[in-house]
Amino acid sequence: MSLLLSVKNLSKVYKLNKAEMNSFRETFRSIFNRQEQIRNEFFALNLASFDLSSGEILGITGPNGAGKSTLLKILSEVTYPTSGEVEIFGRVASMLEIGTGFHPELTGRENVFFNASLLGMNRAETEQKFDQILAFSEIGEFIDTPIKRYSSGMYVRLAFSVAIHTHVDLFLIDEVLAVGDINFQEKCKDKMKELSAAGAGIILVSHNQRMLEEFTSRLLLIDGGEIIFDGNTNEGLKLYGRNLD
Amino acid sequence: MLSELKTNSSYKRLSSKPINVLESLIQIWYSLELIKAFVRRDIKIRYAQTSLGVIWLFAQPLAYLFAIFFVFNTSFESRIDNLPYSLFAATGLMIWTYVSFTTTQTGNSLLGSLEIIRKTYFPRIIIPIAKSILGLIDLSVICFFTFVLLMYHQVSISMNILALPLILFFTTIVSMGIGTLVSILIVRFRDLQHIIPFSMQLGLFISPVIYPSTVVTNDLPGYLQYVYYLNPVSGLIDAVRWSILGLEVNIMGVVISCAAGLIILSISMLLFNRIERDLSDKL
Repeated sequence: MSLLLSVKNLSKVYKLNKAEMNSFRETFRSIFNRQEQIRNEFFALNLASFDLSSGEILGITGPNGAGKSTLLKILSEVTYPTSGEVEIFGRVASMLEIGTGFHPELTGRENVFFNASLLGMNRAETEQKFDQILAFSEIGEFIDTPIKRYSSGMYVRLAFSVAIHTHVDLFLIDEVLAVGDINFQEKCKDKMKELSAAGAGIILVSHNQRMLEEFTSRLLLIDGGEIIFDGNTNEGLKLYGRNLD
Repeated sequence: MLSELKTNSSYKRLSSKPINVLESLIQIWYSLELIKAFVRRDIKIRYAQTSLGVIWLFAQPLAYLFAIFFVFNTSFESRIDNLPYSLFAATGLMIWTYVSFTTTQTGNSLLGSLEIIRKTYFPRIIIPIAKSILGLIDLSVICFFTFVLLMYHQVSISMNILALPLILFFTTIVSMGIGTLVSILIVRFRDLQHIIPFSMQLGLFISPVIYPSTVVTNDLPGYLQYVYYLNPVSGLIDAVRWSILGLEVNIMGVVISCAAGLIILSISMLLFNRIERDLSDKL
């Protein structure tokens, strides 16, 4: 078990502008109206530190607006922290959304290649994994059909297959498993357990208690941008349940 | 410290500290695969669902050149510096088509990639770079037709042609600079989206695309001539005409245009580097 992720005193402050100055008119107005420029600061995240080792599956839960997604966004480098530091020892695949960059006019195959490169795979690696991705997705012959003709289930299956087949050490998953039918969900869980057994770390943000219970051993409870619990999943969920009542 | 960069895909340090220009250049180098993927995707999207597909690539420049060829060569018999007008126009269009395509495409690219930017990380500069590369396809097609015209008119080329790759390379980086600057401004001021098409029409007239630059500069007194060359496109078109057609060139003008182009490029890269990290929060 080696260290995969180390988060130290992370914080993220959003500035709440009264007027988002997206147009000339608003900019001019704000020049003459100084009061509008006074900004409210909002701590989206103000965390203590935590670590993640390889092979660990960490669940993150908490009420809406607690800062779960902000944390995941920072870990995926979509946004940056206001203070504090994150160290990641390995390659990361972030699934803030599955099928990022999927274009409706392109075929399943073309989208797989583009999506895989966004996840950090090069063309040769994707070609090598392509058969596995295709088989896992159960898309079959429709792989060469533009994905605008796919059902939402097919779309999700294909997108998830690409993500799960990337060569990475750390998976960041934001509530994306909630989609797809039961069979496919089970298949994804099995695949992720397999990956974690092989040493990959997984961070799963979810509201689904059952999913967290059966899938994760460690839970991070976040509320108001702070970690209020870090430990055994069952204990964490009990605490969360009590707080809700 | 180089070792702390994203260049090594297996170690990353994320903090509030922004990366500097050198670091972002290194990132670009390590993102070549992704740039290729963006270009491939853009090409496919452009021709997906069109029954003629890639033929469209040739149709547009061909239509332009045919129009010019028939109107000016046959009806007017006009010649400039003893050269057929069609050749003159083709060389101007070669640069102008690229600049306007890249500026328009790049300009809208950041806003258009909103969804990807919000959901995944990659060096954002890849988006404008990929658009500049995409424009090279059209550029090569027009280049090809220009050489067909050269052969048709039996105009011989000189050693100046050796400078063409350099001039075209300069055209690509300057266009990318202009396009990136526009894309940054559009993120900030959405109003600008509506100004781009108009600016491109204006640009066609203030650059020597369909007329020789001497038409403007000959009537201008002294240093005011050089103001005309502050538009980088003016110098680039003059340079291409010197390179392919062997026309005389205002060297000082070309130098000013190149300098202006490089300044625009530097400003846009520095600005881009500053706003890159804020993009997902601001868009």
